[in-house]
Amino acid sequence: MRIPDSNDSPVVLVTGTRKGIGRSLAEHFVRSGARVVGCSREPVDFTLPCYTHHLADLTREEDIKALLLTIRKDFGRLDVAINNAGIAALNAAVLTPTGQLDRVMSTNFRGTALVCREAAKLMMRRKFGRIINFSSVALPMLIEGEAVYLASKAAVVAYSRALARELAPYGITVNVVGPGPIETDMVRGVPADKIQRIVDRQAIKRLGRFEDVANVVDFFVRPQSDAITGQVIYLGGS
Amino acid sequence: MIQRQELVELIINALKEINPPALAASGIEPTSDTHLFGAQGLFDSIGLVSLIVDVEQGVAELTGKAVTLADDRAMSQKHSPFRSVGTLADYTLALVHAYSG
Repeated sequence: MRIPDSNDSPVVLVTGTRKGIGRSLAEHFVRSGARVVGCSREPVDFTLPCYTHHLADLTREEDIKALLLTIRKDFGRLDVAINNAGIAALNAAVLTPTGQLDRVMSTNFRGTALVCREAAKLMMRRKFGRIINFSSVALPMLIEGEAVYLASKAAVVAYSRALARELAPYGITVNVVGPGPIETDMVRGVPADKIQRIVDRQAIKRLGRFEDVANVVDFFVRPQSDAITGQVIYLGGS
Repeated sequence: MIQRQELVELIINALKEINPPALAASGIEPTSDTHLFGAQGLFDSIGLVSLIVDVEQGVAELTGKAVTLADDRAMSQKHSPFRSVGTLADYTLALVHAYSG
């Protein structure tokens, strides 16, 4: 990955790097020569060169502000922010406890929005930035039993598309990737038949791979994609 | 601890750097009394974004504190803290003093 107007390697923030897609993206960007900052609520059990990890609960505004302040102090810049962190919620809508509804919206939407807000502030001065948020193929499929989760992702999509317009004058793009089911802890918690039904509804009838996500993220991040903003790419051809 | 005058200078420097059309057209030197937002202000709500972000980032550089100027309290006040350079400096100073992050 090469970023214009920079002599040093780019700085990439990935949220939710303890495992799954977030970890794979952290490894991917380290391999590409970036300086990567990751975060999660719990400590990680790995180390990577040019990777620093921070404990942060993205439902807490003060944690997010402290994280971005640390990036400013350590690097003085932020090139890419990838809002991967999220939690799933499988429940019949009429049986969804209020606490679960609040947790899902707070982590998936509010956390994403606050990271976007603070990341954009750091990116605006350099007139360059790439923000990538996460949706899911389950959203266009409107999968039963995931109403609250899908609502949180719909909020992320709407927010991202509006934010893309606001941040365009500052050279910052905002896009969304919507993976299909991938072998992660989140998906392993979903009944196998349900995963299979989602896969069967996709044009590409296989589980997703981490490389599929990295490929789309790379597309959004590359300098040539400076006119690609407010877009949503769903993997698997949902 | 940062002083009010430092914040006034920070805001004026940010103002000059952004150089909104109304400021460029007037040719006046901004002071603590310069109106930022409102009927006689230099900015519309969109233009004010750049100034607020620049001031927040400047405060972070000067103090190491991540204040959020456009917080709920600012938005609910009868008299906006973004009215003038001076009122913005006062509001920023209060946030810096109250900062516990």
